[in-house]
Amino acid sequence: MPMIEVADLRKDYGSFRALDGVSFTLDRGEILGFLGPNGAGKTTTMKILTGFLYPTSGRATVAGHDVMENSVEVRRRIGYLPEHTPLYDDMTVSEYLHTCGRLRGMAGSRLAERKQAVIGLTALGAKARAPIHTLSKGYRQRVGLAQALLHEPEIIILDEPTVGLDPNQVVDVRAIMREVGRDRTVILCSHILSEVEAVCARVIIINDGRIVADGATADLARQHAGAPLYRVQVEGSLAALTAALQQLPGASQPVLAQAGGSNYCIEVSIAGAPVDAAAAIMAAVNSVGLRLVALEPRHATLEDVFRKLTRPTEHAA
Amino acid sequence: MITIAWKELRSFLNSPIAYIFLIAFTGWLSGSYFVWGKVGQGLTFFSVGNTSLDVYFSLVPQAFVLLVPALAMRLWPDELKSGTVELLMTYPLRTWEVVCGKFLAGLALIALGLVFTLPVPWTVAIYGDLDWGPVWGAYIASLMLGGAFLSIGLFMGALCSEQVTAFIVTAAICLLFVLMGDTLINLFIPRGLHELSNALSFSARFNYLGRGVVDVADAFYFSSVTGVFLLLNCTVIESRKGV
Ligand SMILES: Nc1ncnc2c1ncn2[C@@H]1O[C@H](COP(=O)(O)OP(=O)(O)O)[C@@H](O)[C@H]1O
Ligand SMILES: [Mg+2]
Repeated sequence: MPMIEVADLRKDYGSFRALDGVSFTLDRGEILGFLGPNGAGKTTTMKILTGFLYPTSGRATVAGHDVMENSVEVRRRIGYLPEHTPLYDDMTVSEYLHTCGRLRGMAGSRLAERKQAVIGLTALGAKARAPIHTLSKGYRQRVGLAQALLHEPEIIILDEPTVGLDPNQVVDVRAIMREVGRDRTVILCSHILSEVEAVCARVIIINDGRIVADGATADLARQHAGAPLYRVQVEGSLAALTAALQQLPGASQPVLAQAGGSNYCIEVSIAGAPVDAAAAIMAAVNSVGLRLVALEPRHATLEDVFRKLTRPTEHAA
Repeated sequence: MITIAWKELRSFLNSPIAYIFLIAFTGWLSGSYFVWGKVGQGLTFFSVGNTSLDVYFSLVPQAFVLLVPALAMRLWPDELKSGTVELLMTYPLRTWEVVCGKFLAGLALIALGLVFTLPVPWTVAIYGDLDWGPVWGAYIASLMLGGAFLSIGLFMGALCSEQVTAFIVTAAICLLFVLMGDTLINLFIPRGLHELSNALSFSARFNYLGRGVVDVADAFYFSSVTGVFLLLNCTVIESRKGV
């Protein structure tokens, strides 16, 4: 049985449709990157999974429990770090975690042990007695994480956990996410590609309330990038190079990527990605008497896929 | 539910509002009773000159009209503004547990305020023969009245999610409930509505209860009003989840 099952989820805010038929399943132990530009519907999806909002239509189950009918059972199994990390500012870190544990029905030595464990994991020891309103953004984020991990939930949902952190803090938080992701199901919402690539084995890309890609992080770029791109660098004339490349069957319009003196770099792809594409390009360059400096295939990155699938102009058209 | 109440209580005690409430409440009652007299009537302990505490407890509703809404106004709006409601409502708690927890915290503070007034009946008891029966009756009536006001304030906070609005609206509603049934007010409303106005009035029932006439119907009325507003509160919170 999948850990999370989402089927044809729709959510309307008044007349605005924020989610428009979102479906996916997530198995136990998967680490999913839920990726999308701002306003795509990531937070809305997470609010539905955690029972904070009801969907307008569609179904979502967590560990077999329906999010609307069996909300409390669902919430018991989830550790959630909401966007913007709301915390009870007037409490100290230790009081806060204690209260969170009590609200989850934890008590006594188990609560004390778990509190110690999450404080250790998130390196909050030095700040345990500090009032939360005195903490920096990075520490607040860790408190939010500690709160989400306190009850050893089966599922951990983190909504934009590294927004507003400096690079060192980002590395720290990612390390924590990787650590907890070893034996739990994790959903990481983010609009930061490198983060998802660094932490998640699987990616879903959502745009305008619809899922536009879903697959292994490693495969996704290959699947959606189309024909591979070649970077061709030559000494000589730009016009001659362009003309020569355009002669090739299936060649795309060459794009100038770099220029320095008489040294040009051009990007071109060959439709159908024939095995001898590189050899054909080399021959074309030689045939017009240009000196080939470098020729390398440029593998499409997740960023290319993301930009291709979520460009706003495509949807406006 | 107890944990919620506890959390709210410690956040009350971390903010000035709890102390303002306690001081203002005891100050209002004792001040009016011993020094400047009841609003609109000028009666004091000395002018009444007997050892019944009727006048003293008749001060409770007017004090509560201002002070209980002030106490109740932050319970929901704080949470809705800072977004911590998203934490609370994604924890494995039922909505009614959260609502009742918040209510209990407020009620505990009101009870504490009433405890602080105990020295007055004690003092009076020293001067004369005090019948403690009506005094306890009045305390129970006060707590029930406070609970009813609190539930209205809690509901308004959830509805408006804005402290100041919640305070004003709550105080106005509470005042209305207190004034209804008053002979003066009855002059301004159609005769046909007098019966309704008298039936809904908090004051008459409060006075009966306060004289130690513990009428089940009156106690039931206060509990019902409280129950209805707590229920409405749950509905408002649930409806925020949308469909
Ligand atoms: N409470 C709300 N009322 C109206 N519109 C909303 C509300 N919450 C979110 N939206 C809109 O729904 C869309 C999706 O929002 P959200 O799920 O927060 O996106 P993301 O988390 O991917 O940035 C956005 O266009 C946003 O403006
Ligand atoms: Mg978001």
